[in-house]
Amino acid sequence: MKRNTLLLTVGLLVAVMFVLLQVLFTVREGEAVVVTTFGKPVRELTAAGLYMRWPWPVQRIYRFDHRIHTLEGAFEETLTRDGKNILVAVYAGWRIQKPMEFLERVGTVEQAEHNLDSLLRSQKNAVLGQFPFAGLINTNAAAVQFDAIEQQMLAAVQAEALARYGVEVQFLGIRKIGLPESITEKVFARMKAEREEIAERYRSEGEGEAIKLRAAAESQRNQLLAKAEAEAKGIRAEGDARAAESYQVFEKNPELAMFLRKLEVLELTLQKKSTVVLSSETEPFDLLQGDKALPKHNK
Amino acid sequence: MEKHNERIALLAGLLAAFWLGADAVLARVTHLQVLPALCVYGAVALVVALVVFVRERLARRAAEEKREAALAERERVSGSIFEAETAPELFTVARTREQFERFIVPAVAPVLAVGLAAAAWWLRRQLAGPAAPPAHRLLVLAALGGQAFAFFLLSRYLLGWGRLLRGPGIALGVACVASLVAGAATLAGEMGYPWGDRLAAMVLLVFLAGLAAENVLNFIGELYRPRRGEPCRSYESRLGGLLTEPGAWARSVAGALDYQFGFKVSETWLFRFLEGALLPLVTFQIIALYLLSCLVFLGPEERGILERFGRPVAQLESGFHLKAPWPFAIVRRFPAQRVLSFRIGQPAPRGASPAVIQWNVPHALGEDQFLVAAPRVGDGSVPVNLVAFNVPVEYQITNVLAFAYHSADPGRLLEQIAYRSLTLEAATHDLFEIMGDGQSRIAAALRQRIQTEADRRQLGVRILFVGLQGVHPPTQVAEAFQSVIGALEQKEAAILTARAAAGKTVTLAGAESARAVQEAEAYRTQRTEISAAEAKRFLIQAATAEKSPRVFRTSLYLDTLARALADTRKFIVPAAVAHEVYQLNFEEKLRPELFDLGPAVGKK
Repeated sequence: MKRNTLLLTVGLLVAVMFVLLQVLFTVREGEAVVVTTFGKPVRELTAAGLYMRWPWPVQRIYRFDHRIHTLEGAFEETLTRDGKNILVAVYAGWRIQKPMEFLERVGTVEQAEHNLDSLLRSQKNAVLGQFPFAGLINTNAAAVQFDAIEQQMLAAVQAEALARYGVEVQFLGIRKIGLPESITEKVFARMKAEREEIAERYRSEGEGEAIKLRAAAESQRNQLLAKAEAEAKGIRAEGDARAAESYQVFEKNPELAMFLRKLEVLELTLQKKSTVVLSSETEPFDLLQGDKALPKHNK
Repeated sequence: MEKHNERIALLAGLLAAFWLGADAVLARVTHLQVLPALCVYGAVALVVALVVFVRERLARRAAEEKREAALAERERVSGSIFEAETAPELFTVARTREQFERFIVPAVAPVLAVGLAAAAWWLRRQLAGPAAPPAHRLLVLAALGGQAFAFFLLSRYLLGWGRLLRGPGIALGVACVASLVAGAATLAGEMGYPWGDRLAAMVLLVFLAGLAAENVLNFIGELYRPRRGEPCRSYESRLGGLLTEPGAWARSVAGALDYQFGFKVSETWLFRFLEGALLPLVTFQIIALYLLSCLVFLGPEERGILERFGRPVAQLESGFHLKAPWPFAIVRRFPAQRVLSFRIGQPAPRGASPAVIQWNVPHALGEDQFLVAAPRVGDGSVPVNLVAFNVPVEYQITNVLAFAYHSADPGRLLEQIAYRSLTLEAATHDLFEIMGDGQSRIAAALRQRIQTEADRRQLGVRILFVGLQGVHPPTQVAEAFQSVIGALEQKEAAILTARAAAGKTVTLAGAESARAVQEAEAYRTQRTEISAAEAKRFLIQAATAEKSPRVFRTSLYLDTLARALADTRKFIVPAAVAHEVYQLNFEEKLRPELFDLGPAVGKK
């Protein structure tokens, strides 16, 4: 009996909870709810709180996130006014403005984002075609027209999104800009060429500077050696002049001077490994002739 | 009556096959994710019913065969005089049944285990992929209602008959519960809770995995079970028994233990106590678990928003809080004290960063390249360069309400804003300004730009840090950039080498000059001094020669000759012998001979 009472209580509690869940519902902050009666949308609620409804299948509720959703568009190729191919990705912040229309027209956030993406793409291409490439990338910040492009895209998208899907596109921004792969390769090639040009310039400057330094040094060397040679020659001449002055004394007895000089030359020329053929009459080898060489007063 | 069990098992099999086909068709038409899982339950019921059908049929036919054999035996005994020897029959129904019971029936559990595991794995993969929007829910609801009702009736009927019929009874009962779960999920989807379909599919999937594990355990248990004449029922699910007979959980467990251990475990006092106390205990447990939803513990980094009936009524700090139970009040948690971060340009690194980060080595997969402005070269060229960034952005939630309720995904929106700001900053600066001295200025401007935009979008965050890290040219051109630095080094090296060579040349030239001058000076001194000395000596010699000219000259001559001829080879030929011819051999001998020691003598 006790066990049956317990089971009955639990069963009743579950049944009450089920009934309450069928007739009461909450709308959370940041949520939009559409109530349908036999499939027909009859009420839309965006204020948080507790509400009542008829149980299923009479009434049914559809909940949507009423906060700002972020839509990230594809990185898509388009043309600028001056015919430059670029890739542009945009993002958009949107929220459900008319929940009933949203339910009827798109039904889910995923479907809405799919539809908005198409709308965004067409408007993006149309607007970007009105601006030059320099309006997107420029070293002069004042010439970059991001804000104008975004505002123009937003204005084009906003009205259509609200009318078609019941959503308000609140803001829109250019997320990323790029170049198609083939152009990117060309830009890489140009960047490489620029770097190579600078590198080659550096190398040439180095070589040129080196040649200049070597030439200057060579010149300085030659100048130094020439000066030194000239100075040396002067000094040597001075020495020769002084020697000539000294040799004037030889004029007092030139015969003796020449004799002495010959002796010097004789001594210098008959160095080692010379072979001398002498006559036996040559002094002092004439002594080898015996008596003939002896002094006469000794005979 | 003999064929009753056989027929009812066949009926169970046919019913399971019919609904299996119906569920498969409905799954294909309606795209409901729960229906493929339901098909597996139908297939299990079909297999078990067919096995039991064959068992019952073989048992009946074996009994008939036995009776016929006994009758034939009696007739043979009474009608024959001479008994002939008869060989035992090899292919009897009894033998077939024995083989079936011995090999086929125990193999059903492992086969089911493998099949269920494979089905669970396949279903899990199906659930991981995208699902088409479901259709015709009401049709499915009606079909599932009919299916559950049919399964319920036959299941209860089967469970009331013999032991062997419990297997298909339980399998159909489980399929009935699965049909109810699938029906509830379909109803929930129709009522605006589409997630119920996936949830129910997950529940059925988990239970399938449980059944697979149970069949493995049953098979192992069957191997070690004492053989006491009990027929093998390893394919019979205990878990299914809990579902089909919820009041008899203890009986089911006890039955399993009785079956396994071979004595009446179910008659012990412990089982009787547990049987009576379990329901209140489980009820208390569920209520206690529900009341736990009144307690809130917020961690040190967390801040919370208390919502009552969906309306935010208070902000909660870290610590313990009490609230009304779910669904009347709920708390949303946010890591408001924590520094949150994301990266632009590169995905967040996995694991430790490399010790050396070089431009020409890709830092990460999926590195973004940004367009930066470049000076215009010609009219036709695109005045851009490309640069890769790695920009970490750190932020903190400052306004929890704005963060929670203004944007569905504030982190993602902030990332988009940061991307836009970086794209814009890059588009208005030169490559070398970004990579060079302008980095810190650009980082500060970027941070300010992101903060302004985040405030404008009411994200409720404060940007703490934006770092321009890893700004480098794309990997494809990094080597060209590095070659510039290399060329600069080459330039410096060439200049330094030339400077060294020049220094050496000039220094050596100076030294050579000095040497030349020194040599000239030495020459001058030598010439001056020697000539003076020679002059002085000459004067003395001249004075001496005047005193004795012949002796002086001869003496001087002979002294000189002595010195000059000291180390020379000398040949002295006799004079005044005009008719004699001398042949002299001036050849140098490599090795002097003994006879060479004496003076050379002319040879006639």
